[in-house]
Amino acid sequence: MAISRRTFIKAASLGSVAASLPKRSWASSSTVSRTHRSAKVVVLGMDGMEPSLLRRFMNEGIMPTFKRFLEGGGSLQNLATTMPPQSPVAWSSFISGTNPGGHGIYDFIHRDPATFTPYLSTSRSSGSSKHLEIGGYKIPLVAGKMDLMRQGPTLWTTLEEHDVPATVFQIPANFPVTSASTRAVSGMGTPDLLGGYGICSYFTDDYVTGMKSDGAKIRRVRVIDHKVEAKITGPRNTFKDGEPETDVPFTLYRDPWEPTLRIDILGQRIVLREGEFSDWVPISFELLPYFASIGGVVRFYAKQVHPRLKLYVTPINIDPMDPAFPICSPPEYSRELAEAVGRFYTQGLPADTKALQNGILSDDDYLRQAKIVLEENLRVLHHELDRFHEGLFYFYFSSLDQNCHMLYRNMDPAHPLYDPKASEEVKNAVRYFYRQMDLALKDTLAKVGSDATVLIASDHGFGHFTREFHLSSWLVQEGYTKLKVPLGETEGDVYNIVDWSKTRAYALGINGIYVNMIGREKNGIVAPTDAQALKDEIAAKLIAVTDPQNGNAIISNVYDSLRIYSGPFMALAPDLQVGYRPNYRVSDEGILGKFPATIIGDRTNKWASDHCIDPIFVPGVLLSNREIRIQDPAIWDMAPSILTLMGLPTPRSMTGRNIFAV
Amino acid sequence: MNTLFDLLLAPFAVLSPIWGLTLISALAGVVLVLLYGRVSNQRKLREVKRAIGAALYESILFRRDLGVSLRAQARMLKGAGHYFVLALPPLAILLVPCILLLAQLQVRYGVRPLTPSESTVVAVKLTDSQPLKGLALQTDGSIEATAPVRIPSLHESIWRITPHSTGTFNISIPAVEITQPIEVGQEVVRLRPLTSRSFWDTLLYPSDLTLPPLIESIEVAYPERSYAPFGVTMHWVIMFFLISLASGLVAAKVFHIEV
Repeated sequence: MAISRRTFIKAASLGSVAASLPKRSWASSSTVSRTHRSAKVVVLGMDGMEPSLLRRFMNEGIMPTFKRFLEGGGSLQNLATTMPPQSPVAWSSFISGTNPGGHGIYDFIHRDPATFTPYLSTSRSSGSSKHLEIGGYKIPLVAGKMDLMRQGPTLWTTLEEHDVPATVFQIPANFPVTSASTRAVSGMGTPDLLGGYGICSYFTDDYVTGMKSDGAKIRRVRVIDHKVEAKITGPRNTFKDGEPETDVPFTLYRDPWEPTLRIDILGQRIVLREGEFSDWVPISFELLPYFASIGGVVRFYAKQVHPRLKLYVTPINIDPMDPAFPICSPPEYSRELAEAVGRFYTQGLPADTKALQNGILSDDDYLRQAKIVLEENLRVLHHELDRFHEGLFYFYFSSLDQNCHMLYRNMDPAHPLYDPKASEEVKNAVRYFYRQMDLALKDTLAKVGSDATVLIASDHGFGHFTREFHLSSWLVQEGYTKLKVPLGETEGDVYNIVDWSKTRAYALGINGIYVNMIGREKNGIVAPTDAQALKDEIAAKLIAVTDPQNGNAIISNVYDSLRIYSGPFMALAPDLQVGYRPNYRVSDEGILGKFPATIIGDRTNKWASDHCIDPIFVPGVLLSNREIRIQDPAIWDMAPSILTLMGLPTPRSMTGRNIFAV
Repeated sequence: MNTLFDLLLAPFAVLSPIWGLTLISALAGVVLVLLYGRVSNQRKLREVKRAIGAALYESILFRRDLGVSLRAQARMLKGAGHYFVLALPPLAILLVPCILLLAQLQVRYGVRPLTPSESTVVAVKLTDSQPLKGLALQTDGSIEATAPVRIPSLHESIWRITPHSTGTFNISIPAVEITQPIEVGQEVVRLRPLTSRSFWDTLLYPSDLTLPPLIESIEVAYPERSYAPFGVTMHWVIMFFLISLASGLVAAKVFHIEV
């Protein structure tokens, strides 16, 4: 069987998953005639824009464009969000015009009921099933697969059917990109080259005790005569037996006197000052000598040069100039963008929140990176606005969401993790990014013309996260989850310490609880007929849980999936979704099913603001330069409203309403 | 030599790089074939080619007679060897102008000037590491430079520079008395990416800078130009080779030159 070089390269990466995804047709279907003149609709998706902060900053005068936008006849309303109010879930509802039952995304994390294996909810990959083994190498004969898990028709499916041009930049839950004629680049949910949400590298000659390696490859290096030899670890080489890690060596030279350094990597020389990020540096990992390799891009950051060397390297992003995975449609789109405005972050969660949480980056370091992410975004925005003439233009900003998660605490002296010694820049970071959103709106309004409908939408709001609830441990304490060992006596992972023969319910993901159901779970023990009573019992108990520190209730609502979701893709829904009160959320350990000894504790992680609580507390915002004529718009109303605005029919699967009609 | 090529290539500098390179390549193909016609023994080449053709015809005609066919094929091989021997000296002669032309094209069409805000590195290699500590790069306000990274073990110092406007700017290192022009803009101009004491570097990267005694080389990492004729990205040398080959074959036909 003949295998092309491209097939080899793709098959080798991410466990051979990227191989041979069918070539998409870029040309519009010739059978569809242009029967509708498309209106101009621009949507700025500002993830995590909090209504109260928006109003506050408008009053403070740092968002004058938003203020003028409203004074000029625009509408502002809270935008009801999904349960759970998580970005992949909410934006999927935006895309599909329906509740999660209509698109099948219920959390960042789903689980396979047959194996209890957790996985990222929006995409799944599988390696090549057939190989030819030659001298220590495994040559894939059948290509791997990568599937988008979001189901159902999308907003742009209808636009494509009616030949309406659309550009959709980095909307979450859209990887791999599957659109036909819509120009799209994937956003949240796009992995780094290692296949996860982003693993950085960190090289230092300092002691690294106390630094968490979660989300980072920490390497202790030796500086000899101001020179360091090191390697960036790449994806596993699925062409080789044992699938060893690939790597790219580099040499670092440090100036003996100045805080500057030089990095030599793959024939490129990079000069950096302390406190400076490099431009994007393309790197390539060899899979089959002289035949197949896989490329990505990184930025280096000289955190410290003297006396100790501290070098941070971003997660290896998929190179937009030559994407190894389907991050865009048409296939040349990301390259075209990168040639026009420079390379940009393709990783779904671009600013490295993990590195800040792990202590690799400081608040100031992180903020520098976050500003670069936004600068890149704005360059793309301006480029696309310059050529937007008709149809739909959707543009996504991650900045408010990511930076509120990490830096909102430094804006509020009442927050337990407020750092009074933080720089003014860090303390004003949230203000800065809101201000930038204002400037983005200003540029947009200036370029799209008065005939365009302009919508600004956020998928949820924000609040502080100061106390964490170990939901999985609570289920153990209440006897719903049974462990093989006493609670807190093991660091064991997820479900290898669970006694499934006695477990009636278990938690996984940020808000979900699952019943261990006969016929669905691998070792289910609860009959489907008993499930409702069990769910009601758990919900009632959870509502009654109080914080021993202050006596406050922790949970405001526990939602039964059967009551809040409807649609053809209910199979993966958790049976219960826990709606926390403000300041509370599930702990990080609980998300992946670990079992800490305590039930509730202080949040000590710098990820100290959040939105994965009861959606009634964290609505998003919706602004429009057209009158919003319904009182309680929701994020699933957006797609039907946009289609109606364009004079197009709304697919039956879209259950949302038209916000512009009474 | 630089001045000669400056004059020869000046008319093409007004064209966009891809058209300039296309025209130069096409003309180079014609000129090289004409030159080949002058420096090669065309009469002998024709005779050998005719003999090879005759042997080929013989081997086809007498393909049922193994002995005759094999002898004909042996003559073909011998003829091919003879042809190679005849072609080698003129090709060796052509190699000289070819290398000179390619080197000159490399500094014009292989690399391009910087654009405003585009960073690159300037590296200076000294003959001795002693003066490294005192090295400082001076620029005018149009170019920003980082502090140096000095590497005593390599006798080398490197800076990152970033121009802010278009034009030709000088950067200098007073301690070792050298001034290096930096080109910023869109035009096709002769760049000086590398000035070195090495013979091969001097041959391949023609430069008119004079190196002071303390300096082994000075390098400006200008970005490569990219070419994508008909949407196919290719190195400029490949493009030169393909176009000059095509035009050379046409010229050979037109001017009845055996190649």
